[in-house]
Amino acid sequence: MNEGGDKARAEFLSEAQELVENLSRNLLSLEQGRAGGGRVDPEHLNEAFRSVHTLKSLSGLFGDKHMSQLSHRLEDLLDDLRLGRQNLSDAVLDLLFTSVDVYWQILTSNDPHQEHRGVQEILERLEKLAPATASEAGDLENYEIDQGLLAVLTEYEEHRLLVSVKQGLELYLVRVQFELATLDKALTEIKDKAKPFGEVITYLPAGEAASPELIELDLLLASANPLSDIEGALAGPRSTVRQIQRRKRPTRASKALPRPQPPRATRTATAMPTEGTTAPAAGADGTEAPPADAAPLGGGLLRSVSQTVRVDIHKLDELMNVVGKLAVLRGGLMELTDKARSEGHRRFASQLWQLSHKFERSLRELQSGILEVRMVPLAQVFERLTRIVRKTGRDLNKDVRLVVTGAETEIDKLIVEELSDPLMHIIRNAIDHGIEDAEERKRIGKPAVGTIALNAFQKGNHVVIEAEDDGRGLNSDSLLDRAIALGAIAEDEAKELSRADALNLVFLPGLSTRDKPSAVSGRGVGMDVVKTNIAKLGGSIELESEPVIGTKITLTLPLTRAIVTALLVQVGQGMFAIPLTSISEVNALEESQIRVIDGTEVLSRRGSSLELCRLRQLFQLSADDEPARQYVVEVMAGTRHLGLVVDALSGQQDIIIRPLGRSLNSVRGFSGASELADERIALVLDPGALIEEAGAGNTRERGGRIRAAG
Amino acid sequence: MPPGESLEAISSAPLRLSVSDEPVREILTFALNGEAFGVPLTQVLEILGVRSITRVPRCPEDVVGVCTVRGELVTVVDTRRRLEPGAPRAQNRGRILLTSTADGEKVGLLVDEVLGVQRFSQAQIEQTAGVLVGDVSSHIEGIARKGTQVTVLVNLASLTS
Repeated sequence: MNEGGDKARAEFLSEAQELVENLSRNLLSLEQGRAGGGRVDPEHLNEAFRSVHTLKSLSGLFGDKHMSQLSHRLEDLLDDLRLGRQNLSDAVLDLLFTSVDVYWQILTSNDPHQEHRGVQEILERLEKLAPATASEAGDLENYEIDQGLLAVLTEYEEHRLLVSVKQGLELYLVRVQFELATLDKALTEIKDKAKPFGEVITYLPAGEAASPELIELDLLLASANPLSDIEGALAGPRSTVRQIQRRKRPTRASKALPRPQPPRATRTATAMPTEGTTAPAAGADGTEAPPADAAPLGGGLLRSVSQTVRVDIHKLDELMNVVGKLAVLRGGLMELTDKARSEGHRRFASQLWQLSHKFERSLRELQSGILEVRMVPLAQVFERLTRIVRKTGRDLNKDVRLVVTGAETEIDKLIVEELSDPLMHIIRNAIDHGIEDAEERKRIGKPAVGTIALNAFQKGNHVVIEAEDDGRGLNSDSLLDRAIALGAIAEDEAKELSRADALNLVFLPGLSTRDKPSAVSGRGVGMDVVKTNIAKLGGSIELESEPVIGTKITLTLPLTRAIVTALLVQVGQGMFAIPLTSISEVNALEESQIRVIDGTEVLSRRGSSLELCRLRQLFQLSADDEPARQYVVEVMAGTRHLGLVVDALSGQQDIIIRPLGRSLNSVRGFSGASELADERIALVLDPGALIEEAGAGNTRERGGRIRAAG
Repeated sequence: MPPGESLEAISSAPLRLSVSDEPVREILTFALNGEAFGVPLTQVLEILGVRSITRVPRCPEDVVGVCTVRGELVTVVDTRRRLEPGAPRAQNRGRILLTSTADGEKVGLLVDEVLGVQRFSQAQIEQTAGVLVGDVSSHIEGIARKGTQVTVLVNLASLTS
């Protein structure tokens, strides 16, 4: 395929992905709506329908056969649902959620022609779905409603009207006058105003406007509120509210609504439920509903509503690289300024100084602008997890509820992408190994429905994600047994381990808490993989667990990896960078405060102790040129701390971290390298890896061999 | 000279060569400790002059360190040590042959000196796969001879992985 085709396909996939996410979101809202009292917001159905409709056209355009077939069927189903021809039952909802999974299957496979098992299966299931005709014989005869108005309703509007009538709602006709020029805006405004009170079923031009610049519309509103409420909210100098009276006794008027067109023929008009339903024929006589696209009001609505552009994240990386190069230039400018000053060109130097400061300010703006663009809400990944919980819970026959808070917390797009797998693993583990089955829960007095709480928030330059379940907690004894069996620790060491240390064994490679592998989370559990992946993102993972009460896993992640502010330090001849986000304190090293415990140097001050790591020793540099005064940079990963002893501090700088090549994969303690403003290269220290290596925190003193195993 | 003529002259030159006999390989040759080695010319992106290379603490013995080329990070391999484990560490001098691995990573090969480009016909190249044994032999693809001059052909894919 040529490059243009690849690019087009990539754009297609990314747009399709957004649509599927939107579909999934609306399905979840529907499900929540049903669970929370049975009322379903028709807007969610409409949104879902719209997503699938767009997916259908899009996949047709790109020749994606499977997606197109699936979308076609789904569109029919969703249309039936929103027109009341099908009930939103558990089975139907299940089918809809399965179709989201099938969409993902199609989207994540690289080959558009590959056969997917799921597609055929779901098409068959959709085919088999019995068309349950929902009874909705709401009695329109009881309302003094204008037949002319009824005649121009689309099938969807008619359905909504009947549903409203069945619920015994009041019907109101709101007559409003708008200026043609600002119609779009005014219409949206009044719809928003009306929304809290009920549903705007349709709006039609009334055709009695006083001047050609004005247009008069009738809004048909169904609401449970009395007339006074509606008047209070909507009546004004240019709008009046009239209640459609109920008849005292039923007349013998026609039983069915007049249908100007056979139902299927209205498809085109109902395709876009909110945008496309404007029928212009004022006082239509019921013989013909003009096609929606001929509507004079439609013109403004055809304009793209969205003001956004889609950008490949790697393009932003490239831009960030340019920022890096500009930073190097700024370094040169600063140097020139110093040189000019030292050579006595004072006026010249001060102008240059001002210029370079303005340059720096703009550079910062550019940098933060690019960073802002990269940020996306965690909701993107959380929504997928909600589906996983649904599916896993069902597979394992466990009733599990996911409670999400802080989904709006923003983090770098690239980090979000990489979070999906680790979080999925954690959640699956929680359901599979953590949450007990319903009987056991009942027996020990826990609520039958298990809860997994996913909680995200920003904390300084980090984003913290907590995943907490109310399951049985980790069994530290079985972890210890496994670790001994694996040879990671000796039996006598195991006895001395604290519970917290024993729990950390779960991160050892190859350690599983289950004897039998399960289809859901497998045998290896993969917590070691989770840990590695989180570490690759510059984050850390911590685990707390209480028997019977549950397990809490805390991920701490940097906001972005694109550019970080780092402290530059010198060790020997080399320059090293430490991300500021992982530094808690910097002090001069006082040799008098150092004590040696179990062969490890520990700095004790203010009642706390800090394990030290002398980078000179770690890097095997000779002690000959060691300066008399050294510094301790206290770094942290999660709650674990380590004091790095360095020769000198060389200021702060924003750096772009580049990963080291594969030849250097085996080198521990660095997350990459960065070109500094003076064109030197600084290696970027990885505090998490150094802490890990030192076994700092609580594992070090007692279980020295755990380090070797990890 | 009218432009048409010169164009013809240029385009006819390679034609004559390819007609003459079997395919010819263009090899970039370089010196390491007085011996001649070669890699396919097409696999060398650039020959870099002396520049400062940052040492990476705790790195494998056959890696000199890292440097940047127009903002891109390059791992510089001590070519001699990779071919002759235990050889004395390379000094920061000579030339760096910039190459790219299969997965797009940039790797620099530090060599003492670049000798030039030589053309070898297949008949002049002796394949050594399976003939030599030992760790190092996997880096060596063959031996090219021209008169008494011997050039050891290096397998870049294996050397840079």
